[in-house]
Amino acid sequence: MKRIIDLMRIDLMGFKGKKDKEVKFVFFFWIVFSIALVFAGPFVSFAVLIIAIVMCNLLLRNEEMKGYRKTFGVVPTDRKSVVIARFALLTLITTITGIIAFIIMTITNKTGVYDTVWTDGAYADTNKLVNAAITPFVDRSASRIVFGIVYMISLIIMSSMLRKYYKKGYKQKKNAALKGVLKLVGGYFGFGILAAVVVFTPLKKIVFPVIAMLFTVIKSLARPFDGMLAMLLFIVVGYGFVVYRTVCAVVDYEKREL
Amino acid sequence: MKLINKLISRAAALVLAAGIAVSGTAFAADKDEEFTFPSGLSFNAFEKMVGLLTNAYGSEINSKLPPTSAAVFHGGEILYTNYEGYINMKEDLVNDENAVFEWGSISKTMIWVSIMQLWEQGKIDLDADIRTYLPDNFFRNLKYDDPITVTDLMNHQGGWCESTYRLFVRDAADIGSLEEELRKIEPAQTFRPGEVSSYSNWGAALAGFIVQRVSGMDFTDYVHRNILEPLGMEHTAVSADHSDNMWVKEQREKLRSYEMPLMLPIWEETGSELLYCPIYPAGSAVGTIGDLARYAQAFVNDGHPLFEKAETQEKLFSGSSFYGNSDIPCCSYGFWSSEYAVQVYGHDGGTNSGVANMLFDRDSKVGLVLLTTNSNYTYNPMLSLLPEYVFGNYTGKDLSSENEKPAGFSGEYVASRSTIKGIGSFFSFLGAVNTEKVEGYTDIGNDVYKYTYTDDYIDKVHILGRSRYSDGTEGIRAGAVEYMPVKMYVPKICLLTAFFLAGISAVFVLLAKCKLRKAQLISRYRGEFIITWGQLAKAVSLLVIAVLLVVAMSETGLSKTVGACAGIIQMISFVLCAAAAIAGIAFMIKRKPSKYGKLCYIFSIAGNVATASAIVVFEMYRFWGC
Repeated sequence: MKRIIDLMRIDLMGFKGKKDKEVKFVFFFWIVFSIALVFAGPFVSFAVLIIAIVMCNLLLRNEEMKGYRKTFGVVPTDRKSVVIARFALLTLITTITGIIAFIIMTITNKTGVYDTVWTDGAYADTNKLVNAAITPFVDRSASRIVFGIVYMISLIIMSSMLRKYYKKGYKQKKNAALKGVLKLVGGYFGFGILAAVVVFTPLKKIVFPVIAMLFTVIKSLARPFDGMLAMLLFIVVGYGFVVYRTVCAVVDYEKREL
Repeated sequence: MKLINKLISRAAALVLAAGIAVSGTAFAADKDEEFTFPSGLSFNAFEKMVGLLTNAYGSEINSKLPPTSAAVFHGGEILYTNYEGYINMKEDLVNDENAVFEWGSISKTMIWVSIMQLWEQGKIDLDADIRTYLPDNFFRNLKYDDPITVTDLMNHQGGWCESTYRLFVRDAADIGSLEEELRKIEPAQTFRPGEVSSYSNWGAALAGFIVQRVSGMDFTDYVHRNILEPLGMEHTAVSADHSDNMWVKEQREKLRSYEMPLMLPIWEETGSELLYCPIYPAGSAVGTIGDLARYAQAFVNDGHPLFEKAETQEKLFSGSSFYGNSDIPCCSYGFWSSEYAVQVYGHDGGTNSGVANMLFDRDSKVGLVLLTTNSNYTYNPMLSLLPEYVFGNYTGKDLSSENEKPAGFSGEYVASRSTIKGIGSFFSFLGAVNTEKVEGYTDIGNDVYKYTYTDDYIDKVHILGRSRYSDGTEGIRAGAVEYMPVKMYVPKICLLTAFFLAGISAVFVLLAKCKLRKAQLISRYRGEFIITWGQLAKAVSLLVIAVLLVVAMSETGLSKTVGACAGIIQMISFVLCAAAAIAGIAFMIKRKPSKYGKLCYIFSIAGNVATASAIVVFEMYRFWGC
């Protein structure tokens, strides 16, 4: 356990590098989001997603490009501990960010800051379309479900990135940004094609009841405690993924030849 | 397109509102020359409005439409008919007077008419215990010894909750006798007879069986001889497989159903959607719009063609169940009262194929029948607007009183017409309604509530009643269904959440274990075998519940075989979870594991306890008698 904590400390030291503009970016990003909160509290959950992705990238880049891998050459450790320490650190960062975001969201919910701005204020009268779009976020149950889903996605993406790293290593690809955009576009059209296939084929007789079932369960769990139970369900799924990906990463990293 | 439809509906609704508002002036001017509907609309205005509605709707959607047939009558005269759309778009079969549609639950009214005919003949006592008319030991799932009267059946107050199992089958060859089919899916009796209204297909079919027993005739034969033949209804079938009228059977097979996938403006054929109802008196009738109109006309006919005495027909519509302590009828011997500008009785119906409606005002002798396979209220405004054009909108002015106060509902309520017992009981729990956020309900005294809302710029009112139960609790009556308070809602929903969490966690733990086992990175520990089986049981138990929900939401519903399999799996899961929990506690005490190990044991035990408890509390194992 002590070894894992030590490894986490080393990574934290890595984040503090003077030349790292990313950390400054993260704080700047937080300030922007905090201001944005005044207008729409539940959007803070997207900060968790950004933090999880940025911090994961930062950690992996530090290791690959700034020689932090060498640190592990002098600190007595094993591969299993390295993997667990990385997963633990990033999960901890995401969790702390999530807790802060949730507290902020709850405060803005309680004070009704954005309720006033969006639904009671003069702005609501002059822009009904925006008001209609924002209404689901003003509702406490809906905002908590949004938070839970985004939090779950953050954990899934973060753990998937780490697992991929330990399985295949960090590769700086040419035209990475372009490829990323192409992937996004491809995913968008792929989803569209898949949706069309489901809608216009007998597959819908299976898929639609499944969607209806999930919707029924989430709707039922969203009702009591203003959506807390549904949010909890999503968060547990997220942490479940983290546990599974950690195990997978340990196994893959043990097998990999460095 | 949805927006345009909405605008058309609203425009029509505004015209209706204007029509009603001026009905005392402009329309009254030519009152002597043309017929005026109870809504206040003159016949010409009515025709124009329906035309506006259908033409605008038809041209806007710019394609063939699924069929909708409607007829409006006044006494013995048919005032208006409308045959819209195609019964088969691919083969260009246009909807006309020969098209047949499923009547769904309107079929039940034939049971109630039959009962009243037998009552008139002195063969049935409406206040007698139905066991008098049934074979010995017919019931297996009765909870209360209280007598269930024939009137209780007609009021849907026999005490049965909704059956967990499906009411329709795909293959007519699977259908046994009415008695066998009733015995096969007898639901649990969950309410004291006469106390709770819970719309029951099974209870209605049971009344059909009583007709069969008392008359000594097969129900189909009885209906043919005593209802269809006297009224000259030659284009109606009532048996389970429609074989009692081969012309109708053939016509029904031509009918195709359509749906709009994801509300896209394309009608997609879904086939004939021909399902058969084994407890057929409850919902098997099929016929033309002309026959349905003829049937409905009988109820406004002073010549009482279905009964020997006028008094019998009067009694049929004298009200048998009322809202709260008021004299506002909710149900009249199986016919439902609806809120329009005038007192309207009738019945609607719905099957996999479409929807049907039959409404009539006995004072003005005006009635409306409607049959369609387009049950989408957004894309078929006829469904909601046509009754309003004929009977007018109910404003509830007669209910206004000085003592009106907010209804003050609180807590979670569950519908009486849901699967309250057995393997599907968690379905009804998931459908619980929170009443704290509902608005527009006022208590007007006499245990009657008024629900006021605005739809398409028109203020509308619905009547509800307060029900007081023998256990001291109170419910809300909304027509054929009552909403009853859920006991211990919060602990139960928390338990259900714990069940979901335990199942999901078990899936991830099992996946991780598999990965470690494959890489030979996991060492064996004491109790691993039973704990792993416990994890598997938690995951399987959750999967079974998910599958049950999906199957129950599919078009044909849950079969007995699927229910039995699910129940047995849940029993095994319970045993495994209980064993894993006990083993976990024993190993934790004996082995004195590390802090991390102790935490794992605690999580495992908690998950097993949650799953086992949920299986018991929500009766996930009970596949019988529900």
